[in-house]
Amino acid sequence: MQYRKHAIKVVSVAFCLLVIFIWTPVSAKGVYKTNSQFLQESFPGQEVPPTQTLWLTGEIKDGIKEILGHNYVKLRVKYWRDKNSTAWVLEEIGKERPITAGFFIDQGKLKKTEVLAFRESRGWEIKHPFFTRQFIGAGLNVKNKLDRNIDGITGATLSVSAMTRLSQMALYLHQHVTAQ
Amino acid sequence: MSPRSNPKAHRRRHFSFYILHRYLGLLAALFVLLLAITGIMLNHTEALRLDDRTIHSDSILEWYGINTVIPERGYQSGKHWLSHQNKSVFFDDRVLNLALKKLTGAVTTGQILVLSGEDKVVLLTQDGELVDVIDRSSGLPDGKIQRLGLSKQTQLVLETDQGISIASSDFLSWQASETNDFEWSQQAKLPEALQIAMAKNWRGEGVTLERLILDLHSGRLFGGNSGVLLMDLAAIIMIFLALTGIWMWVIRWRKRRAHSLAYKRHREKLS
Repeated sequence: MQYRKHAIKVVSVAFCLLVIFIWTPVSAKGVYKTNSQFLQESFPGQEVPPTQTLWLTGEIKDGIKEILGHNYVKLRVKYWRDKNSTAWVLEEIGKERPITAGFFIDQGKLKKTEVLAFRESRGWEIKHPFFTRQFIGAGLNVKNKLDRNIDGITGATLSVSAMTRLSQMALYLHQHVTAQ
Repeated sequence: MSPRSNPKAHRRRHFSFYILHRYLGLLAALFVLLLAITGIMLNHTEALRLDDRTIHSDSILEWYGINTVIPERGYQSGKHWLSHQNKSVFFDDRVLNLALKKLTGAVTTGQILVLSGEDKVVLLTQDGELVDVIDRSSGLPDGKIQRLGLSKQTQLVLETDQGISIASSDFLSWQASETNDFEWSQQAKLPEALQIAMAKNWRGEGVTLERLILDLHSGRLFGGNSGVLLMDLAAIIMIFLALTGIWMWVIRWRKRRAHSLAYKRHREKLS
């Protein structure tokens, strides 16, 4: 009888552990920062410059298609410019859902990269500074690739790849608007 | 006294595992049958042409969330109809890749087709390609959007619960308006032919028999994660049955061996 009770206890504990394991939230998806917060932090001590827009047509569209491997989700992107500094809020699909990221670029180099919203269930580790600070100081080489290697994160390969592509796109767009 | 040195306790333990094994076996039988039958079918997908056969049963499609409830009313803007159902936005007969809780209006200004939800304005090309999304962070006026319209100069106008605003030509800045002499977009009944085309597109090719059997096999058909969890539980029960089965078999085998040895010794003594 005692052993039957033991067996029932073991089975119940195993079941409870399984339920806890399944229902414990394993992701940290959500909106981490609003666009306005990101812009205020990117242009500290001054008013955020007025919003400008860039239509992704012709040569720019082709360039972005080469960087992303597909057309950008929108035909027009918003940016904020102060002299040679620009800020961009861009979106790219990680696996199934879009990742929103903010980029602040000064003199053709990334000064700030942040994940503003993450909607996937996996790969949210890219929001941490240990990952995003790798982009600081990065620029584009002649092939429109980052001039440095970005270390991946195990289990977040697609998110890392999406962030890398978006940073290339931001730098590419920066080059375009500052060259005008 | 340990159960092994106490034959009564040993027998009780054996009996309790036997009872547990028996009842869990009965419970697992249902899952074993389900997994075995669906597994055999999936092993012969091509021969059974499971991927070619589609299911058109309303109840199964509704179970998959592919319901045929399509909007009856929408906004006509230029040559196009914009309508909304369950957070999905229809551009004529196809669903756009954007989610809106509510569609509050749709107008065409220049080459841009503009539609509004309660807290954002979406710009589309005449082909339904996404141009941009304007929300509070892009300067959209405060308040819930009530309706969308055009001024006499074809400027975009929107009314929120806090007032009426007129958009600049790039839709990024808004100016409050004192007048209300605008042409507001109005909903109208969708043409019947369009509704039929919408229903057809919404359902697509339906669900293949392979998908249904795969979801039965994995448990996803019984409610996503809960169904998968149920199948996990069934798998754990099956592992438990296998282990208790082996354990009981070993005990019986040892007993039988002990019996036969004792019998052999007894025969040797007699002879």
